[in-house]
Amino acid sequence: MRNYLIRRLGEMAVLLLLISALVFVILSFVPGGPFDLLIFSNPRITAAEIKRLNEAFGFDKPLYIRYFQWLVDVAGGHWGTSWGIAYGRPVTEVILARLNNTLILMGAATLVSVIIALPIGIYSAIRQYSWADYFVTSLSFFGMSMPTFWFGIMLIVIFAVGLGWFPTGGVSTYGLEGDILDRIRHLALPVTVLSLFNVATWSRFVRSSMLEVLRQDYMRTARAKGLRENVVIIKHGLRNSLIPVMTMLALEIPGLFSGAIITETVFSYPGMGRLFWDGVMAADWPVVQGLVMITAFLVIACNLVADVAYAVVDPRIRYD
Amino acid sequence: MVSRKQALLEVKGLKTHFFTEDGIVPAVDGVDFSVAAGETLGIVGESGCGKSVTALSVMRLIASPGRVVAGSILFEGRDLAQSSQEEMCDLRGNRMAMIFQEPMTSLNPVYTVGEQIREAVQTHDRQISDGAARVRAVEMLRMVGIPLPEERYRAFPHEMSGGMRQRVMIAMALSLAPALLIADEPTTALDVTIQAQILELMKDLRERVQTAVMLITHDLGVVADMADKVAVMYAGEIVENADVYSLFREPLHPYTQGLLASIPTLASTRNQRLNVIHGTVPNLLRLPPGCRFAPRCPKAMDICRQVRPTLRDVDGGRQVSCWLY
Repeated sequence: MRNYLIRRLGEMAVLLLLISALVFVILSFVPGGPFDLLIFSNPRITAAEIKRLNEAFGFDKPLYIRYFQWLVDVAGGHWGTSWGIAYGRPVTEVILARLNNTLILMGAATLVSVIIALPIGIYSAIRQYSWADYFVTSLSFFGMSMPTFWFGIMLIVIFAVGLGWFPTGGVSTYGLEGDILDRIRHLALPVTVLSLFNVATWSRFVRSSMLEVLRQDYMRTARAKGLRENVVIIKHGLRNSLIPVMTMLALEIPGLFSGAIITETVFSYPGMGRLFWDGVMAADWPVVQGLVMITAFLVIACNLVADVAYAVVDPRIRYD
Repeated sequence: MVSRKQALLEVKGLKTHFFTEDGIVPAVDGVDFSVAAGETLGIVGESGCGKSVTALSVMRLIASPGRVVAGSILFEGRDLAQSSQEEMCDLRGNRMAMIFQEPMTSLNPVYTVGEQIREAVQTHDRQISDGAARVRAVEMLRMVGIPLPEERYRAFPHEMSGGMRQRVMIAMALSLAPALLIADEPTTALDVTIQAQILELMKDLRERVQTAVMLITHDLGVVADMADKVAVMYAGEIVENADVYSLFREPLHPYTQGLLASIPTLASTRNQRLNVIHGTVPNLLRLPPGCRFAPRCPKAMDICRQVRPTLRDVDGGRQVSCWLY
């Protein structure tokens, strides 16, 4: 297990380096730069002055030297400075400010989704082809096929504009920033939108995983022992069916950090997804590069976590 | 012969049908047999003749779309066909236990074998402490001949061979000294040498635990080795009931005769063809109107194709379902 971890961490470092180089190169091909804002806002600025600015900041140097410089900076904890959406502020600061919001939104949505999806999935598996199973199945397809932007807007139209129960967007009411209830009211609609999709897909996943387990011979053995049906389902069935579910959830974690671009945009929620969107639109490459690196790191790290968790819950899996 | 009043298990007119989309499948269609305390009954037949469904019906472990539709299953004086699932839970693993054909998949992969035996003990003996149940589980592992039982208690099923896993299943089944052990093809999935070991173990434990055994198999050799009485099943029915000696000495039903004749012997010459029963088992959805074996029977008469025979007593305390007798 120790050797396995060392090997995996080594692979992870190489992979991240490759990704950073790739993203750096791709972003360098895109037109636009740190002084676009100056050009647009100050028509009297000359090409010579832009050239001088570029030289002063080192943007005229060859690509590989700029990449190397970026690597050295990152190693020292400096991820660069935003040149678009938050002019002059360090990238780390810009990202951290949004990370908190996104974690609250996505964490709440994930928690709600798991709490709803698990029992639904288990129930529709043990009552396969029952009226309730068909009902849940149709509802799942509804949830999966509903476009997020449309469903979000409908919720706003009905529950925020029409009934006035919830705010239309944002994280908190001005002047009520520390109020938990106010925070929850702001989260309600975006969490509903995100959970609908999650519950729809995850409950299907739990259902099929549970169905697979219900067919197993050891379930019959458990019944033949004289165990009550609920013990058979929970102790022998659920424990086994959660193995693939846990892996799936571990792979969902990167999504928690990178946010949900569409939902955050619809509800004007200042999170990571919207930061990425704004960063791309403003050609703010240091911010975009930082976000991509964080996401890449999380995806790779969570894959590792999923593999390790797999070995923990399933005694058949060994890494030697 | 076995006297009826001593019967531990007495099954009468058992019918278990499966309600599928294609129609009703009468997997078990009116079966009578009995097992006395301490006795071993072998149930023989080809794949799909309903022997496993019979066993699962006695345990009341038939899953939807199957259902016991008729008959009585008297076990220790109570009719299991009428018992609630709650009552069945108290009996299963306790007074009656079962082992299965597939030792590789019959144990739960995420719990150690020791835990799974301990769970069986504690399900029925709720007063027993964790420590005592654990000691009991280790004892059972030792009893079924697993070396280093204290260490193997902590082993997961995937760390054991098929033969060892079947020993664990036997340990689990016998941990509460049941009056009846149902063994559904316990050695079919094992290597021949391991088969012999498991059969020896079962014979030995049958004496020590004083349990009756209902042994389901398609292997006549296993029946000859283990059973006191034999019930031969064909297409959901019992066609012949006899004690093991009479059956092998003088099989009455043409199907039984065919089964015995199909065993190759060392005396037969190399070029000699194997005796086979021609034709295939009938589709249970489209059964012939008369005797179910008639289409394959070399001795079939007109009546066989028209009227279904019933199981009747013949000389020597045997029963056979055939118009020849």
